Amino acid sequence: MGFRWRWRRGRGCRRREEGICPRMENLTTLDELRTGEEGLIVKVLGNGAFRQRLLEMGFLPGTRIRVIRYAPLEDPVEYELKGYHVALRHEEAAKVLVEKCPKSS
Amino acid sequence: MSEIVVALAGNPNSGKTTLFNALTGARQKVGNWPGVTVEKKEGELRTNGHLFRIVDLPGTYSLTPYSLEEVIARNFILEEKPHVILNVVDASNLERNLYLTVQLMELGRPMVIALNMIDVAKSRGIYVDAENLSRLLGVPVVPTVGTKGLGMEDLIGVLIEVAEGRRESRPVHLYYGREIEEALSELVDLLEELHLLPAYPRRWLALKLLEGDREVLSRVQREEGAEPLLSRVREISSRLRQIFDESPEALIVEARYGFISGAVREAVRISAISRKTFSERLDDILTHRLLGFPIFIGVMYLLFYLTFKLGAYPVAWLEDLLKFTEESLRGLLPPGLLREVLVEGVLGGVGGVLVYLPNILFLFLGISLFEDTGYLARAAFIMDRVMHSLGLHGKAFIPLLMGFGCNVPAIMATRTMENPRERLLTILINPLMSCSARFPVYILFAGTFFRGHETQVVFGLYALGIIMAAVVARFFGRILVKEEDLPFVLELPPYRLPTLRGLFFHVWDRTRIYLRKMGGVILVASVLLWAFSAFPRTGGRPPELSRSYIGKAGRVLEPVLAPLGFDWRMSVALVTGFVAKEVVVSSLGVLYKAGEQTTQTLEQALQASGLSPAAALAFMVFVLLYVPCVGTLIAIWKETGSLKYPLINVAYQLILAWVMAFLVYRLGLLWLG
Ligand SMILES: Nc1nc2c(ncn2[C@@H]2O[C@H](COP(=O)(O)OP(=O)(O)O)[C@@H](O)[C@H]2O)c(=O)[nH]1
Repeated sequence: MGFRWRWRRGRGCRRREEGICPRMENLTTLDELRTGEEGLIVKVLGNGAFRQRLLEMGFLPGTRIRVIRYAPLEDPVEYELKGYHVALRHEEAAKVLVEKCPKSS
Repeated sequence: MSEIVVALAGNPNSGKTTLFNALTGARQKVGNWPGVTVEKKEGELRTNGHLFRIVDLPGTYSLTPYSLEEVIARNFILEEKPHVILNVVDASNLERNLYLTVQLMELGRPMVIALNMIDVAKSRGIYVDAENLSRLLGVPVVPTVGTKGLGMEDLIGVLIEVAEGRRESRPVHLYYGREIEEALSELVDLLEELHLLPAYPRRWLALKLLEGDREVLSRVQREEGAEPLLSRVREISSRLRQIFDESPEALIVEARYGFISGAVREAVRISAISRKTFSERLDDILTHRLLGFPIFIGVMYLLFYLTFKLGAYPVAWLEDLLKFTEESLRGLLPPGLLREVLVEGVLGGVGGVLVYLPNILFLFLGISLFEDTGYLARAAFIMDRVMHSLGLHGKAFIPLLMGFGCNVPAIMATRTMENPRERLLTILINPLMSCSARFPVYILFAGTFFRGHETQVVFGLYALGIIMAAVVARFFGRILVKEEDLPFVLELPPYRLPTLRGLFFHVWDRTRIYLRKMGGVILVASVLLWAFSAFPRTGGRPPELSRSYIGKAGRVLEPVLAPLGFDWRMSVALVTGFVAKEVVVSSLGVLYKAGEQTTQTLEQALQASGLSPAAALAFMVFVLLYVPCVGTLIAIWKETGSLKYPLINVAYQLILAWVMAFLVYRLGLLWLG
């Protein structure tokens, strides 16, 4: 299989101190990110309505996403992307590939 | 005066309802979209010589065929061809809101954008240049603050100008990139050549074909001579898939967002104040890992306290009023059929439901507060894990919880759920939540036969209801047509201070629907049920309960209920409980005490009747599970828009009640003797 990694021009996880986060070194799934961590969306797996809906909600390659918090029972998880907040369940977040950004100190 | 039809479209939480209310005031009509559970609202607006008919489309994020609401929204625009689309856009969440906008732009109707919540955007340092945005999209953009009514005059003026063609509204064509554009223009030509679906915008059709939109595909398939087009679509899609290693529909989403981020970059200025917003701070507490649950439980407790404790005072006043009316009627009217109809049928039935109106008002007020502040979404966030294990959405929690009070407003509260399938499921299992009307039955039987263990018994009954709800939810979840595997995406909008006006509208809306829907049908139902208990007359006077039609029905049912250990009087009482569950107790009172010395209480009479504890337990289980009361059935009927579902409820609950009561009775005989 081969999916093409797509990147948007000049849209790295830019942090004031660190510049752009290294590519393809911290590939993981969205549900693996902990509270406060950030990542760049690489690809939404799955297909059909599921994938379409996530893409339409802005889960596009190159979009920055941040974990706001886990629900008191661990599931679902609140994320921030494109300036709004949305909660996903683990099973859904597991289908979103992300490139984890290094933690800012 | 010509009518201008305006379709109101926008994302959920964009302020659509607020704008709708601000524009139409109280001149609204609420109903359902034909044949579905989705609510349809229409309102009127008259201003200097113009009559607007504003149709509130369901709030959606997109216009795919995957959800009922989205199909309703786009079909309304395509088929009814409103004069103008009014798209409400949340300025503080512009990018995602514009995703719907660009899709609306493709439907080939004139459009006006209400750039709402500019106050919120400003407070977050987001400045949107409306003129610039308008130029980029080719559509008039009017800044508004729905809650304060700012910008309404401008909006109305622009709507009139656009509807009369005095102002341009020509949505720009998005550029989808060379390959897709080539494909689109080829498909557009083919559509024209083959004369397929000429009533629809061609470019939109071409886009939908590329996206593989199943609704449009099946519509094209039904046309004659569509095969060359369809095979061409398949070729083009697979070619695009090869070139980009991505599905055409995903490419289209990306292109749209590409266009949007371009527009946002040009029209929006952000003066970065990236401090935590007030809303985020509040969420740190309200959805905190440890504090979140206790606070949530406290809030729910407060809701119930408000509903039942504070509501109890006006309820008592209404009861007094009812009693007074009843006595006046008895005094004014001579004994006879008319007095009986009015006092026992109308007052007894309708009045009996109406006295709970204050409770219901408080409940609606609480729910509206949750909705308007944004706490409802947090409640769903906190409870989703639990509800998910039942195959339900987090948002199902509040309607189910309310069911413990009364199933009627609880079923109406499912309106906060967007997914029709999950909503239906929540409605179907709601009567299994043991409403407060069933409580008197438990008190009577548990107090009589399980003295000292009442708490355990009553708790067990509530738990049984919940367990049955879980089982039934799983069962129906399998049967009900499974919708496309839509992800759980729960938007958590920022907390907002509710406005009095907004709250008033919400409560008023719900109450009005409650009264109108309930009023008429309950009147008819209670008079009918009264008639069954008051006929056939014996010498011009009402018969004994056991001789009435309802009593006879109870006797007919006796053999069916005998395996559960119930005698004929219990069967009769169960039949009368169809009016309202608490009636079971008053019927038992009449039936058991008839002919006995009057000093005996109902408890003593029951004990003296030789009923076994096992049968008493089975009876409570039966009352918990058997048919919903008339009011609940009517609510189910009205909310689902179909008689099928109340019938399903009656059928499954009767079967469930019989089987469970039978098991309880037999096992009870073994253990309790
Ligand atoms: N600050 C502010 N709040 C608004 C504005 N418009 C609506 N709201 C609030 O936003 C919330 C959601 O609005 P509502 O009309 O129910 O949104 P809908 O889901 O699109 O129908 C409510 O609490 C409204 O009071 C606005 O322009 N400014």
